[in-house]
Amino acid sequence: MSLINGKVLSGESLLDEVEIKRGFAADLLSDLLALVEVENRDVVLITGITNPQIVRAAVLMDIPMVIVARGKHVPWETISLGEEKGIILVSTELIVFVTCGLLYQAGIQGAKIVRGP
Amino acid sequence: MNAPLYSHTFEIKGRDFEHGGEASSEIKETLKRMGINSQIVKRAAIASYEAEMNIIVYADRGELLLEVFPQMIRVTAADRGPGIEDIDLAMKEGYSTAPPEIREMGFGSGMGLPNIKKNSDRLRIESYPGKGTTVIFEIDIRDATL
Repeated sequence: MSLINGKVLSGESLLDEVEIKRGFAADLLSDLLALVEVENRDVVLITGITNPQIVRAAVLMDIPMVIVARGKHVPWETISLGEEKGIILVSTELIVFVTCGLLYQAGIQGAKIVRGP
Repeated sequence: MNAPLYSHTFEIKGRDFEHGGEASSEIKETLKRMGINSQIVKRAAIASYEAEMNIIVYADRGELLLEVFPQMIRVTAADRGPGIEDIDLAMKEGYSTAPPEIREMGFGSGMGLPNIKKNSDRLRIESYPGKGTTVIFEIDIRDATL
């Protein structure tokens, strides 16, 4: 969290329960649903999307944490849905590129990808 | 086909991005409670979510019908929307007719229908331009404890 100077918006109490080892960045949720494998308890999603659908998609994919980059304002509906569904939402002023770079440098690997047909 | 063991209809409101995804979340929870293999639940949830968001993005209203049979899960997504002009084209990865404001929300990447196809065992699309679209997909239940 201090690595990306992030602010926890929801699910703070769950922070101790998750261990993030891999990451995936997307601004199109279908790309996330199409590409990422299904075992995602250790995956963080880095995105520029702020609407409640990031929480829905995370729940669907069993992704425990979402980082919203570029310091974008995250609406209340998204935060309260994150709280309700037990998704850790983090906001950072950093852009997606830098956020990913710092995480990668800290040893976070890429999410497992489903190979195309 | 015999009557389903379980069936439920979810009403979907077009453009309701706040509640969009609720039906597929419920479908996921329902299937999980039934003790269906988690891989199969995940496939059904992803395909349902794509179908649900298609209704929300493109139609005024629609519904998702979930039917669970001993050997398979069937979801029928029916909407009263603009219909699909060219289904083959719509099946192409990356092809989308979504307007820019929808893309800004993270949708309309042209992966929706291909994603449904990928996550299901059978997919049928019936569409009548100007009237609506019905997407039916089935997922076989293997190794299920149902």
